[in-house]
Amino acid sequence: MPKKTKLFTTILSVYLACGTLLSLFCLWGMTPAVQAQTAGFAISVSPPVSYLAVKPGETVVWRIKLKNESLAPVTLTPQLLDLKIPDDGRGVAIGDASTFPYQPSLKLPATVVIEPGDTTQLSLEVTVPATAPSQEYHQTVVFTAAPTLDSTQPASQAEIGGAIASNLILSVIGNPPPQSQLQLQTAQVPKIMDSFRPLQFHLVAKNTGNQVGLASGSAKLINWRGTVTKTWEFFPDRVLAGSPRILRTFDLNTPRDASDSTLTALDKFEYQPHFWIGPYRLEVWLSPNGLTPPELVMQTVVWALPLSTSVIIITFGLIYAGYQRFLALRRKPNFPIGK
Amino acid sequence: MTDYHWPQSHRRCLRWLIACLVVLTIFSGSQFVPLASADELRSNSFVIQFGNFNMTSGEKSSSSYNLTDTVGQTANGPYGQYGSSDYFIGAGFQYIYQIDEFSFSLSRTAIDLGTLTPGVHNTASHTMSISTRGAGGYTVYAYELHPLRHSGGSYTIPDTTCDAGTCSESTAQVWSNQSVPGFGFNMAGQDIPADFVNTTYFRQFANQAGAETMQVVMSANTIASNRSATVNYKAGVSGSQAAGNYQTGIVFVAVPMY
Repeated sequence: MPKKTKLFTTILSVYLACGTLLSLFCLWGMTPAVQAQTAGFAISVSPPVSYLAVKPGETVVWRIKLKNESLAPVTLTPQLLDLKIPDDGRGVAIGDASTFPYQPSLKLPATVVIEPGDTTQLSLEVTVPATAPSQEYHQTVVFTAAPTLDSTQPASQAEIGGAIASNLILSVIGNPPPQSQLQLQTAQVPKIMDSFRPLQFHLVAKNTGNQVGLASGSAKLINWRGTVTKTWEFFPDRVLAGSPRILRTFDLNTPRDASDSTLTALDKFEYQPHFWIGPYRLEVWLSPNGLTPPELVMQTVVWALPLSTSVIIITFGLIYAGYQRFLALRRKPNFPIGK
Repeated sequence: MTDYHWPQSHRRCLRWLIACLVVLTIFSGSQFVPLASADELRSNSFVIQFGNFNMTSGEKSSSSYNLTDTVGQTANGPYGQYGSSDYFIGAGFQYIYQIDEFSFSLSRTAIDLGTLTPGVHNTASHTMSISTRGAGGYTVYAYELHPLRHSGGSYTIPDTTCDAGTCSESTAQVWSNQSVPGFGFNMAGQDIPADFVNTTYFRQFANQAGAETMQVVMSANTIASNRSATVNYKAGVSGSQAAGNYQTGIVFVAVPMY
């Protein structure tokens, strides 16, 4: 076979082989991923929290989707409970019962049965009487797959049950309309700090109004020359009516995946210079309702002093003075310890 | 030199091969075209098309962060300025993460503690996993229906108080002495309470029959992507414990933040 033909055949073969491999690779990528399913309990709920508003005399529909991602059918028992906010403004808790006055209109089903891989949607109606006042209600419906105790089992066992919740924040828009009123409840700010240590503090806001408000504002640290040394913008968390919530700031330091565009938040405000000294003014600006411009709600002075250095210097000074005193005493003729 | 002329059949074969190659190349190239994905947002009653007027919005990034925001938009907040009768204005991209799915899974629904023998602790475990895109995070609580109870209903294995008798449903302590009977659990993995210092620290479960408050076993105040933890159960009996099989039910409750 001529050389040119051999070369052409070789190149063609290589090209064909690469193309085949590439296509096989793409076909493999196109294969729909088998969704991992567990033999245990695997439920997803959407949405995790619903913010609904209703006027007196009207009805609003609360829709919840449940998906069974396990390999077995699941029977869920829904129960409406109060959603509670701890006094420190961190996290969320569930009450033992529900104090929701319009519960009868909800008509929760007794049980919800979902086959493996299936999704079911609940549409729960909330009807509010025409005389209802402006108020906000915090509820959660907990869907529980109760453990099934089987006394015929040949060994000691613990049966495991799972439960998942979906929250409801319902605002009744009566007359006068509800308002949020955010105030600074707690500010744990030290008065004196060591110049070599970072400043750390927490802020807790409370909504004394009757509608959820957005945390909006900032905290600023201003040095003795009037320069803003550090600004912490508040993360736009919701502060529920009548409840506290710890304020958070944006976390710009934690490395994240480049494809993740969400920002996380920190509940600790921190200023970490190598060295700082003198009086620093800390100002907290908070919008009362998340809509109007922030107002100055707190102003305090933090003194940064070289405490650790002072302690070291004083300690050495005392040691030195003590040693000099000891030497002076030794020169005296009647000193008990020999020279 | 004599030129080599391919037979007709070879030339036909070659043309067929080239045609296949061209088809394969076109097919392969099409797989690299990124699919256009439309983001659709659904709330309880309608589809939000990010309809608000704002000064600036969308994704911004620098070398150190990525940010989605909406600035100066009209009707921000969960209800707009005063809300409306039956719909939720999700003005602000941040809120889409509140409407996403919240998932919770347990790897098993039954834990076999085997035959309990005095002086020996039996153990078993399972994992649980949770995901949420809400910036507020989540909390998982746990409780038991009652202490491990004999199938006849008359006897129970008490909840552990650990080696020093000081652990409870809210505080873990060391429980490694196999002559100390009881029933308890240890947590290991992500987002677990700080009192589970290592695998020797155990708590008892909050007892629903005793009106004890269920306790937090996993929690985070930020988005969670497949955060998982392992629950390790331990049971032991004393020499005076009635023989037989003992059972209880444990419930884990996952609650999203608001």
